[in-house]
Amino acid sequence: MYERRKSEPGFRWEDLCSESARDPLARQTMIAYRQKQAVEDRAEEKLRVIEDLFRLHAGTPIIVFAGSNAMARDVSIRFLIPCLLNHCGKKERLDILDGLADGTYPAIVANQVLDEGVDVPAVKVAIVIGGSSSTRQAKQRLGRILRKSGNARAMLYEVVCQDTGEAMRSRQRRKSDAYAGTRHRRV
Amino acid sequence: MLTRELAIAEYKSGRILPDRLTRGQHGQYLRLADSMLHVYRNGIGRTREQLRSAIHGLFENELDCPARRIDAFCKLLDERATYNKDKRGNAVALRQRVFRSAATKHPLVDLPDRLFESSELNVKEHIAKEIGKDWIQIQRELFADVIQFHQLKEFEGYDSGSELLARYNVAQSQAVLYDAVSVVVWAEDDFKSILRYAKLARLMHTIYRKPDQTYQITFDGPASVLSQSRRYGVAFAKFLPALLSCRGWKMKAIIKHRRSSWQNQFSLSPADGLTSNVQPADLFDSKLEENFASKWGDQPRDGWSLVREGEILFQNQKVFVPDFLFVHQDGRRALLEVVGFWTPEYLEEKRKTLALFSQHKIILAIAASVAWSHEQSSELIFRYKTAIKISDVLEMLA
Repeated sequence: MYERRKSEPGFRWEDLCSESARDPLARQTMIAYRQKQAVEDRAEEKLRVIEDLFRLHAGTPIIVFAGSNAMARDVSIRFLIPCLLNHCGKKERLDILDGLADGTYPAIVANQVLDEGVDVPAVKVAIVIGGSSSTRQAKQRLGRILRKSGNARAMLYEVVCQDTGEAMRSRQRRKSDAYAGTRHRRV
Repeated sequence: MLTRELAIAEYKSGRILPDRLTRGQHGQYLRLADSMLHVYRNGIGRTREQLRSAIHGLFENELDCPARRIDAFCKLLDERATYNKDKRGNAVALRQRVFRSAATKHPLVDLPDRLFESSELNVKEHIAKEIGKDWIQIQRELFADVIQFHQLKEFEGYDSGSELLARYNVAQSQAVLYDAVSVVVWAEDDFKSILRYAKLARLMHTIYRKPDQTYQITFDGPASVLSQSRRYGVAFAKFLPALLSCRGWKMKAIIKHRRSSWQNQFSLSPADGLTSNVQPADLFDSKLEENFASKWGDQPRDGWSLVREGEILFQNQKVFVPDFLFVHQDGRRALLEVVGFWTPEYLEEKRKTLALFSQHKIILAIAASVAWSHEQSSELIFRYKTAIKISDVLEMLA
């Protein structure tokens, strides 16, 4: 990809995608790119960071926002917390959300399903471990913990892999005005 | 059949050419098809996801192979496979049980210390003991209801790689027909079986006999009267394999483009070399007729025995195929035609047809919901509500 861009400045990912039908090298590039993303997304180090955060906030309900279903399942199996994914039926979803509200479940992990539209119990701590760079998604996720309930301070953590596209995406989504009144700290 | 997303077709001066793998140009696919079948045959117990990536792996070094084609192969292989789908919600119940019993021990840490003393391994071991299964097995069953983790249970498969390729070629042609607004078939040979399949396709069809003894069958659905509709595309596509198993025909379909108004033509004939082996699985074009035939049974009743669509009637250019033929021991014959719910135009057409064939004894079974005012031969009409009663038919035959 890097070499091609040197010779053809306008070469884009879309071109590579259409070439992958005929060119094995292009196909391997696509596969490698997807694998790289999967490695970033499902980095094991993230699980360790989540463990630290769980220790730090033991006793308070936590929502973990994952970037992909695979990562959500990884987190779910590692910490044995329920995961709310698109395959969950209505009954299971209600059980998970009610469980989080009444303290049956200490934490849950979700993919994009919790971004919009679902009524989520008041939670003050959220961990974002992946997702797109869209500001809309970021706003929705931030909005989940910024409900008015007492004076408690809300915490939103973002776990990213250093020197990857993830760090860039995180910076990108924090450009939204929703983050204007918030304080950032790099841990 | 393939989904529309998997269809590959080329447009060339008003014609559609669906993707077709030929021995000449795609010789290497024969070997690949064999190894694809091999993957599935040895893949009992593996998940959909694993099988799919294994198939994609086979094509890794292949020139000329769009990803859609590989996915289409996966779809066709899945068509002949059965998966464990966890229909009873065992996985949901298991998840609930595991997560609930782990909730009190939250958070599960790598190395327990004084504050958080439940380690991941201990808790998992404990839960496994409680449930009475191995943890690895529990983990495998935990998300068994997710589509990509369905495990392959059985693979009926295709007899050979070339059969899979033949199926692929047919499937791509079928996918083109999803967008068809009308289909015309000209039949010379094998007319009877084409007609029978045509009836089974559950499409409204009109048949004409041409002077040169060929038949022209035009297919459309009830809504085609109002506007050009793609609604019957799937029915056309279902009819195609049956047509392919017949001899001596020619087909032309008008395909409407999805996003614009331009139309393309898709023509097909046995010369194109598509093959399919269709077993006459459904012999009836509606449940109603099937129930009636099975109730009647093989034995003659009051001397009448039942033959399915055994008679084709001609009157100049008009062709009429009633649903049932009754033959009496003494040689008398009678026909039964079942009229369900159709459009007024269709009923009008039927009425004209019946008038043409008035020299035959045709009994009409008409759904009670159909408004029907037929002047002639009214004594041969009876109405049914939910099922055709044998006693009614016998009364008419007598």
